[in-house]
Amino acid sequence: MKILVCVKYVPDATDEVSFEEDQTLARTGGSGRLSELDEYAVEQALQLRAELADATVTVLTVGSDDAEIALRKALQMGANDAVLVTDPAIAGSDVFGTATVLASAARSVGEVGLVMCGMSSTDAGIGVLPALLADALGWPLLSQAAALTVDGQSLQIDRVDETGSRTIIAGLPAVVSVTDQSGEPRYPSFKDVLAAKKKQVTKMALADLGVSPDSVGLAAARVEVIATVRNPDRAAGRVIVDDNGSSVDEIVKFLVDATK
Amino acid sequence: MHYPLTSWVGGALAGWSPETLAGVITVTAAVKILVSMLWLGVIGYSVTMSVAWHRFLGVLNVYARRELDGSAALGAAAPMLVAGKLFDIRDIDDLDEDATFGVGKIEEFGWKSLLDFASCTECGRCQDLCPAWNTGKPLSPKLFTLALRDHAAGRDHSADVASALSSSGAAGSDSASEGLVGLVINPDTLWSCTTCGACVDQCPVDIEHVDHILDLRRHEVMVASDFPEEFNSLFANLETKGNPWGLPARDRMDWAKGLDFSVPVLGKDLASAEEVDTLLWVGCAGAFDEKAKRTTAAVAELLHLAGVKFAVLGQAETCCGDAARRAGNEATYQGLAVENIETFAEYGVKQIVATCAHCLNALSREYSQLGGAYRVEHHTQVLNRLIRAGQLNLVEPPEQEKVQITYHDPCYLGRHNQEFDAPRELLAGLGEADLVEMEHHAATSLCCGGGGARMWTEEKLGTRINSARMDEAVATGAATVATACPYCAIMLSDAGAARDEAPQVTDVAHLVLAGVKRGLDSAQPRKDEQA
Amino acid sequence: MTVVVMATATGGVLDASVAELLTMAAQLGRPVAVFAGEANHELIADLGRFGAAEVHLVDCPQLAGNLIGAKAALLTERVVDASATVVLVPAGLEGNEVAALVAAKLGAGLITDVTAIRGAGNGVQVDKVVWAGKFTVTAAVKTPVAVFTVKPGSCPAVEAPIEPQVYQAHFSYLPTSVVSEVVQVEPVAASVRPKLAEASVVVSGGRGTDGDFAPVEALADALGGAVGASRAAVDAGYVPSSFQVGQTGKTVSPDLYVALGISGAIQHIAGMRTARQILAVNSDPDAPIHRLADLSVVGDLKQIIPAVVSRLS
Repeated sequence: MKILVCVKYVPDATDEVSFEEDQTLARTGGSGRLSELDEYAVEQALQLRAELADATVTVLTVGSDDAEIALRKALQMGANDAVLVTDPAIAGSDVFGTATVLASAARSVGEVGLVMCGMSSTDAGIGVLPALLADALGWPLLSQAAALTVDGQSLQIDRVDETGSRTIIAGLPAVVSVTDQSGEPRYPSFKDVLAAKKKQVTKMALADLGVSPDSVGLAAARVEVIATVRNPDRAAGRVIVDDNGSSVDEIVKFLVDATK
Repeated sequence: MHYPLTSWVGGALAGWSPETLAGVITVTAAVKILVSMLWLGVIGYSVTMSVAWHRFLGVLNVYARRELDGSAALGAAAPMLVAGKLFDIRDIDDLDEDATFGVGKIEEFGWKSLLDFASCTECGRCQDLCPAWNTGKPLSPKLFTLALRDHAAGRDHSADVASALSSSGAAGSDSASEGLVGLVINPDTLWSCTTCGACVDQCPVDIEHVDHILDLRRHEVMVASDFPEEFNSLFANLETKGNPWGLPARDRMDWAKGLDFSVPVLGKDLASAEEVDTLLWVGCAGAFDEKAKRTTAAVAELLHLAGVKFAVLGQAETCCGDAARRAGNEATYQGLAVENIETFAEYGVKQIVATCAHCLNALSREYSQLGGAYRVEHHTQVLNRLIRAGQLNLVEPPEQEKVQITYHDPCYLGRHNQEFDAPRELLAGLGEADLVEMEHHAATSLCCGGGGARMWTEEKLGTRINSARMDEAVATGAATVATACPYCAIMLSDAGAARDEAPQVTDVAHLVLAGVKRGLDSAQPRKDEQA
Repeated sequence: MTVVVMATATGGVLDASVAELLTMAAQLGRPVAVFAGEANHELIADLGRFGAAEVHLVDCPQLAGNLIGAKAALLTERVVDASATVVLVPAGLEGNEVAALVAAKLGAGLITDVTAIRGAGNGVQVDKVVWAGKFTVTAAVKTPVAVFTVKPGSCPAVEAPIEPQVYQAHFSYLPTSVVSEVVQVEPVAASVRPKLAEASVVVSGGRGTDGDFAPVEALADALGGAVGASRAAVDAGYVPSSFQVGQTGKTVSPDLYVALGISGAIQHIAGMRTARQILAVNSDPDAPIHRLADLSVVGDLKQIIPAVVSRLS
């Protein structure tokens, strides 16, 4: 059985970003990385591989050729192989387009019994892809898992959200997303890094997935961006050094003014 | 009379017959031979009785030192060998799939290491000076060596070694572990080391403890992936952002904001380092830590005032890699080092001045292992030179402003690179008559606790090394602790902050700058004197 | 236009964010509130108080299983029934998922974590903050129906009392695919303090509290605010993860944010950058938070905060 981990290649959080004419993100080559939140998904997948019989971990992403960098990191962590879906027609897709592509890829890869994702991507941060994937694949959804355990052929997760906390179980196949509370991702040892060089990255295009270019890409996106405005950076305010409680007066005044 | 003290013995035997005497001689000789054979048998059987063996092995061990010129195994870490060849990150495609890194099992130690373990005299000088041991950590270089000695010989520990190991918490605890770390060496023992080198420096038979610590760390990091969890973010930050804090490279020139002269950046303002006298290597602390940034600015200002033409690399600098190397991550270290070496080559860098003792050590002593050779000086050495040459004029503060100063030798400037005098000469005269020295200074200086990548880990065992060092500083009565490395400055400041009252911690550069400015001010006519 | 607002409640009390959504809906068209489950009179009255022209109370047996699929399906049915063109859902981990599934079923465009909505021409434009607060994006959907999740605190709730028409509906969720099973539910404990995501005042504690959140809580209570925490405090076990403010926790936009013993790592800043006023207390003069706060105090929070609290009381 294949555990398929969907990952994203994103710019680093501290990098300066800018937008193209068509309001898509200007993706500069080479300075991106595997989304940090996806590392948690890869980690959980690797742990599940050890507990499920005959399981392997395949990591999947949709992007340009640079996105292979994200796949390499996951392979170094221990994933068995990787798939890169790359096609110029996909550029500018919204989350529905991406979900369509990922779901088709999951079917094309074959023998997938579990799809895993991070809780959201560190760039867009919407967090709905797992739900859409589960819907598209017709599989149960176990999302935003802070803890994940496997028992035979069923999975149990603990989830905390704005409604409270709950325990959810489902049998395989299923779609799972994990939060950053689920367990620290492993640091690949140098041996793992060397071993990863030999692992297979398969490239697929839309035609290989049987997905029509009309259903993805900027034109098919259901949302259009009208404008992007850079917000001014917060300027530093007043800095005072407290000396045995000397700052209390000013703090109280500030708080009273702010809550008027 | 000949032999006044012992002739009475002969007198006592005078009456004995020659046959009796011959018999006595035979018996005495036989006893002597038997005792000697018994003794040789005993030590032959007790291969771990190094109290006896060191008499033979010690001499060999001294001759077998790692450095061919006979200098101590300090400064550069021993290069890593993989299957007998020097590991170079640029050739990893040639590496065998089953290559192993560092030492995971006793058989993987080289002959020199095994000789080291067998040569220990058990004198304990290393332990007496070890900053970890003296603050309650389970690391004694002596016990570390003895534990490996016994394991190499396949013998159980002697009673006192066993009890010393268990009472200090250093006993190998994990019988399920297949590797040395866990089975023989407690992980806390391994990771407590700050690589200060006091043990190596003190050892009378030249055991090279730090090399063995690094061998084990390299295995734990590069093969077993089993290391303190704080290193996860350290390694991730070094690999993705090129500095231990994970801050963006574009902020590396922030320290220069506020200077009233511009600092040329190689690649932007000039194309080659040959156009200037030297490269000022800022380092990660010097670029991202607030205190250290002020030190970088002070050094830059001093160079400017001295008329030294210098340039910096700005964003093109990446971490020197010391923290990764000392943590055992040879691959990440080499990745960073190779990047810097290529940058240096691109701009023709030959002469460097560094403000951080760790960067100094990496650039001057370690990069040569990867083909990068430069003339590197520490800022205290450069400032010393400039003052001697008259390019900077240092003026002492007026008597009423002088305070007692003590100097903390950074391990990587002092012990590892043998520079004790240049900073002291700079301080002479800037404080009260004589610099007051801490109990452990110069070659026996007590580490601040930041080396060996410990700067990036929490100190959970025993008491804090930096507090112990600050206690020594406070005991001198000095009002100011001068130092010459940003990590020492950070560690000592933190220790000072935890006390109600503590001396001020400052880099030598700031005191020198104040002295130079004093000279300049007195040379300028005062404003109110101008007509 | 008809705007469907998904109403949520905690402990039977209408969530404050829903009032904001109703206000926004009223500005666009005719607000229709949909509430799944049993509603009491106060809830219906509250919905009317903030302008809901219709209130649909949907009884769905499968909701006991608290399934996202069930909520999305029943909301979709109500949207179609009302011929609504805009759907507003309170943003959150579940809110976003429900909204996405509704949008998927309707073929509608989805924009999450919206901070402002305006009518524009025939349609609607929304604002959203992206990239850890660095950019504000204005966007619109290209589809006939729009689904938005709205961040709490985006617009002040305005009372516009109206007697709503109340409809009772029954919905039976028939999943078209295999669903997961919820075996244990612990709803959010009703708290005297406002919800973190909705509060107008947030007082957060970090590593510098050394595990003692008493000053943080005392100040929050003195100001009538919610208690939050940095990732470091959560990782150190001082408070549960639901208190976390930051990129992987909650993003808050209160009028006043007080950071106590928090250094100001970028992931935390991303979660509170848009607060109107920020006060920081940290004993480290070099902590990045000092560069961000409107008033920054270098000092010991354990000494300063109790004194501040006693002055405020």
